Amino acid sequence: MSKVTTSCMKYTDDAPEGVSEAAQSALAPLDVRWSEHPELGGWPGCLVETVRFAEACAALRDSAGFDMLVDHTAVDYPDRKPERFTVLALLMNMTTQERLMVRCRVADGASVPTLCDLWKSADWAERETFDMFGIPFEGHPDLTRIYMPQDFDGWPLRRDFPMQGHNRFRD
Amino acid sequence: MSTDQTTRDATPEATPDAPPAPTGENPEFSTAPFDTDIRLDAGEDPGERMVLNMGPQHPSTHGVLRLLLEVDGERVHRVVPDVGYLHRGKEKIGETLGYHRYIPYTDRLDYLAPLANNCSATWAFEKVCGIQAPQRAQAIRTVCCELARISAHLLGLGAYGMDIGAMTVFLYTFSERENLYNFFEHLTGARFTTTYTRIGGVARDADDEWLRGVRDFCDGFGKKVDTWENLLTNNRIWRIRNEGVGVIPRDMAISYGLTGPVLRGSGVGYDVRKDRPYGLYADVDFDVPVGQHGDCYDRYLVRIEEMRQSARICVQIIDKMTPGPILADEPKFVLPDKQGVMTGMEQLIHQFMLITGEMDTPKGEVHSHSENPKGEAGYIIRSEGGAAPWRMKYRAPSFVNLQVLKDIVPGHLLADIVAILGSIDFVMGECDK
Repeated sequence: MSKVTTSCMKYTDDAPEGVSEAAQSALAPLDVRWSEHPELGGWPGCLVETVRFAEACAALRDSAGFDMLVDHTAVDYPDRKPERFTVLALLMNMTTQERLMVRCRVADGASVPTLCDLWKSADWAERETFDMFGIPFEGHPDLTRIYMPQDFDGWPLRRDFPMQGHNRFRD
Repeated sequence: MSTDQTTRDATPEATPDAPPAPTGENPEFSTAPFDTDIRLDAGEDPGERMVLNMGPQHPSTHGVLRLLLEVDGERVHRVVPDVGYLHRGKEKIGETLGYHRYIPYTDRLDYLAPLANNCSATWAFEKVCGIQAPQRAQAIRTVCCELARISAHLLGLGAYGMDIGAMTVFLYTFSERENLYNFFEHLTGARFTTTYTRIGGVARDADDEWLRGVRDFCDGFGKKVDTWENLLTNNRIWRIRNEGVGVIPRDMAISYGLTGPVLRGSGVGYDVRKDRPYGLYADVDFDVPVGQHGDCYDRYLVRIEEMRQSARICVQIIDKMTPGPILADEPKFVLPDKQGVMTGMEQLIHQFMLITGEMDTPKGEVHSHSENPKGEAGYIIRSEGGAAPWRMKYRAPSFVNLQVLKDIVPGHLLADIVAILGSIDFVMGECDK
């Protein structure tokens, strides 16, 4: 795999087509950057400051009707400096079926505000992201591993984690 | 060691070569208890409460789900679902192997509906490549998805009934499922691990005999559903066991991100097939059943009606199906047909190059989702070029749906847990990825 030092996503100041007025005005005070309308058929998305991640999601939930957290994950770019990870949260408005991908970037070891106060599904979703990437979520009530054993060493879905594990159990 | 009869009858302790019994001092054979129980500390005053372990090998947990229950007599006060016993790292595998070679692994996600998984993965990968499967391939895939839904709901219903004590339903639904598996075998060559779809189409064409057979099956299917409903829907015991049990209010369902029949049972009429049609769902006419109370009984009714609608969709698509190619003409991404690979040098080289990673996908982020039997199966794929995704996230509907147990189980009796688990209808292969 060739070395990827930066994400392919491009961000601008203008909201792409398909983002509702309500979502734009909810995010207006937060100084977000919008991803250029994705050619590959994804949903519109935006990039917010890490410390305001939960704030942005709360604004979307309360003033733009995004009442479901559909999906939550992270993307790892080991060679991207200084912020290695991008955390993604896919939100959906059940009334209009509008979806929006909210992203924030975070360095290795730094934490992201939790979404547990906003959606109940955030509990396990964040535990999964924590388990796989080792990104701590600040304010999470029970941030423990969910798939891997509690005493597992390493973060399996980081790009630099070896496919065959650490091989500690070889004979 | 001598192998005569007397030595074999001797007790293991008598043989000098036997390995030492685990003592706890040897780290390789630790007998220390698992510390998961620490998380179920009953608090300051446990009173009469005890912690009961259910699973991971309990028959009614449908796989390797483990529940830690804090019970007072028969009454459950707290539940901690413990998942991850079947975690195989599917996403890591996909990020390493690449798009083409990941498709067989999708069979093992929701192993009760492998065809639906094949299709949802391929639809996502085609979005990454920027291609579309031809009309006939889309039609076959749509039929496959619906047959998979019927098959998954049949198993769910049979096991659900059996857990509550309605043994007969299990026998009916399983014999019906056998017919479906014969169809899958005819079409794909395998009954469970189908690996049927390819990027840009499907592996083999459906012949007329298969289409006729499926159409006949779907025509007569409604009557069979009536028979099973006779056994359950107005059955007094079934209703007492299910009505008002495991109620998920509408707001809670949305906040937990539930999808599929579990969400629709709570009165939210959200269905990906209707709201964001993919495949050929935009061309067919079907209803989305919605419950009212959000209890186990409503979820059961929603699934029953979904099976009828699935049969209806299959009939409409088969009637409209026209001959045509089953693979898109996009040599940059689509594997050559198998006959050519077996006989022609160029096709063989072509296939070899695509499989070993000589494929360059566009960069970007793709979000794709489809309505699998258990709920919304979603892919978030970040592509940085190349033949493998940089990051592939699979949204497993069972994983998301299971979390609601924390809120709906407390207050119920132990026996109701079995009904609730059956009505949520999860598959651990998918939940644990």
